[in-house]
Amino acid sequence: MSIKKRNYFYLAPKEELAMKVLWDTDEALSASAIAERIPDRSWPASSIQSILRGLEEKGAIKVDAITKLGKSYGRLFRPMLSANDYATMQFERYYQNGKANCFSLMSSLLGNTHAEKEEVIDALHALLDEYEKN
Amino acid sequence: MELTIFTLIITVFWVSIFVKIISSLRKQMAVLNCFSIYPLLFLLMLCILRVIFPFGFPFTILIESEKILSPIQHFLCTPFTIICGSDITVFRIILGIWILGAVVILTKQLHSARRFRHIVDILPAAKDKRLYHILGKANSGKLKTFDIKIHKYFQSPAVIGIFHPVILLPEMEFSDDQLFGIFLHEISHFKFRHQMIKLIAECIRVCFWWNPIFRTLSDEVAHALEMHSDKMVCSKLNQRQRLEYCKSITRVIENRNRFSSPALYGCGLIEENDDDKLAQRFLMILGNGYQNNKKFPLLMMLLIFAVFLLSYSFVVQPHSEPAPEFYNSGIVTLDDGNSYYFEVTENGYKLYDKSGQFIGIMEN
Repeated sequence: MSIKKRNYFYLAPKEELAMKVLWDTDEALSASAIAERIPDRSWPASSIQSILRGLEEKGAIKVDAITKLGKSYGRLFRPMLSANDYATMQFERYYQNGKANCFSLMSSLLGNTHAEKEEVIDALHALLDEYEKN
Repeated sequence: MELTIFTLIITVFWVSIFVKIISSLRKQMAVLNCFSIYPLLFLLMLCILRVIFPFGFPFTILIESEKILSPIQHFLCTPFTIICGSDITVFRIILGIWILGAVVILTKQLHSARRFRHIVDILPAAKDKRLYHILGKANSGKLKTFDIKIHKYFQSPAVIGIFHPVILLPEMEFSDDQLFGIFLHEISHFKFRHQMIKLIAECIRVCFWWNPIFRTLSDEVAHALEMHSDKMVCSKLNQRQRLEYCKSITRVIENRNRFSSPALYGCGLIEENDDDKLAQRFLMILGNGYQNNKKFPLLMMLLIFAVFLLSYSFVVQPHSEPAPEFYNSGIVTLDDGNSYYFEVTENGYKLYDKSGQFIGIMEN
């Protein structure tokens, strides 16, 4: 699965359960198969259709094939992004760029600035080199 | 045992002193080389206990200040307006801002930590058998089975979760020796419940968000926990492996990006970006600073504990007379010779005990 830059979206709890089923398998699944595989499902299986519709609109899943399921035809779904891609999307949204919090702000105001990464690395390399020489 | 604003103020005072002592002691390599990290851990534990129990005890001496604290109390507690039937004082405004600030920050941090854990739970566990083989070797005590999860945005190897521990690894290549050291470190965090200690320290920091000293306390706790884990690692590694372990720490720092982990997320391999603290860890690891033959003398432990008890010995508070309600409804038992009174109005008397302490007003 390619990691394309996609628009941010958030999965509702039921959508997440459906996606976990799709992430856990390599095969494309029908709506009923997805509903069956959701552990401890407390809601009716028929709700899965609206959940999948929501996922399709968000671009989280796609219809992989249309196949004969029993007497009628049904769609098989496949995820458009992996669990790793989804986690990346969430991390980037909430935790990237070292968003300042009130503590770091207060700390900076008080002059407690931390050393730059390069300075820290240089200092540690110098220590390791010295140790290896001895 | 009672909790008042004055016992709380004296707690902040003592904790500030303790933190300054801890901070200075921690920087002294000679102290660490001599006693290892136990005095530091003991002091930090007492410091946390002091904050959790900010009470006055029966043996606590009340020192009353009339000239300095009474005017301050008067300024803070005199109502300057009434809103919806309740008196508004400077003290109530300050207390309101304090509590509101703590609630907002704590809610934000807990929410952030919960969301982080939720995202981690979405990630599939690593499938690399080599990782689990090395983890098994490091976890020979079979305390608990750990999941391993890898992601490019994990800043440092870390362990999260108290009941369902997960080891997080950044998306980097590590040698077997490096992984062994890293796993030993994270297992040790879990084994000694460092996440709980860190959580308590973070909660204290949030509760006293306005005081930078408590930030230092939290940072010192995090650093001490890292050193404690390093000590456990060093007991199982040879010199060459220790060097590899230090190299892995350096590599993790090199690999760090601008991702920021939530403050309450767990315990990592690297908690700080402070070159002095990291250099200190390296010196301790490579210079045999964690050797087992270093003892924490009982005398020193008793001395530290005595200072801890001393911090409960007194509370300074403004001089005050009994509350007005007491004048109307208070019942005082008088024995022969333990009190005296004199007439002040046509209808009443002022009552004092034999030491001259004012007790109240008696009406005819």
